[in-house]
Amino acid sequence: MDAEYDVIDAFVDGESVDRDELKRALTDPAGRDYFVDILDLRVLANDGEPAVVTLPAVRRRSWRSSLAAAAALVLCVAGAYSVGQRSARSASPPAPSTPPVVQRVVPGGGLMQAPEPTRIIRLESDAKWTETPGGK
Amino acid sequence: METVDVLFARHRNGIFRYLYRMVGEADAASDLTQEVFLRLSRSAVPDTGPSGLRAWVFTVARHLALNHLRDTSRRPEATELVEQPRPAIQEIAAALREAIDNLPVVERDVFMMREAGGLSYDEISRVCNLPPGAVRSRLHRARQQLRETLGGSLRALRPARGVSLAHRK
Repeated sequence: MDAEYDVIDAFVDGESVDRDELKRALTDPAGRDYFVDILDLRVLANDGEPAVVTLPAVRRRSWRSSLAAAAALVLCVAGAYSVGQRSARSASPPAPSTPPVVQRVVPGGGLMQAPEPTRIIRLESDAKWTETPGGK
Repeated sequence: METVDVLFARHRNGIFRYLYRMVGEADAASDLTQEVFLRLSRSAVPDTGPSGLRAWVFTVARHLALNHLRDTSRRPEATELVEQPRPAIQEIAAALREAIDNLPVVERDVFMMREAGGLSYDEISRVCNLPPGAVRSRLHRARQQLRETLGGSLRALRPARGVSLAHRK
């Protein structure tokens, strides 16, 4: 089909067209057939499934809601700080700290006892020390 | 400046029809339509006139449609085992669907933007990065091919229906 009928396309599509060119195209019976066919195509192309679409729930936050959220956050922090201050003032001073008593506990239960000595070595000052081979 | 809610109310049907014809499945088109507006809601609405906004919305839809087509072309297609009897109008709609599928991608894109989306040549030219003259010639070529493929069916349709220049909203 000739490209001369694209003036009919443009007319059907609401674009501006040359009147004489359109007149010439529609004088031709083939042009008129083309005109009606593309209207039918339009009807068919727009038939079909209805749009069942909903707007997604996620929306862009506006600057107002962002400002409100920031203000609420600042209020929460300030409130928590003042409550903390008040409760710290009303509490009694802490008791002086004493060193902790450390007790060792053996796995079987009870306190760990030091073993009985098997040999007592007395350390004397000014004792004569003799080095012997074998360390005896 | 328009909000995404307003854009949604104004363009959802056009976007859905465009996507439906591009991807061929109502469920996928519905999901993609949601995705279009989800993406729009995450980006700043450009401060342009209504025409620029419509082109913007369809640019997003077109990218999603082309991505979807690219992804699904890698997957094997399900085969319909039982041929269901169809009424005449559904047969013509199915024939149109097939004929649109057989158009080259750019022609199909241009045709559906015009017919389903109601975009002007100027808007289509912006969305598809084509000169307005190329939009006009490709649209003409697409209609020619569809007309040749569906010629008999279109004439059979004629006594039963009226036609109008206006687009459905």
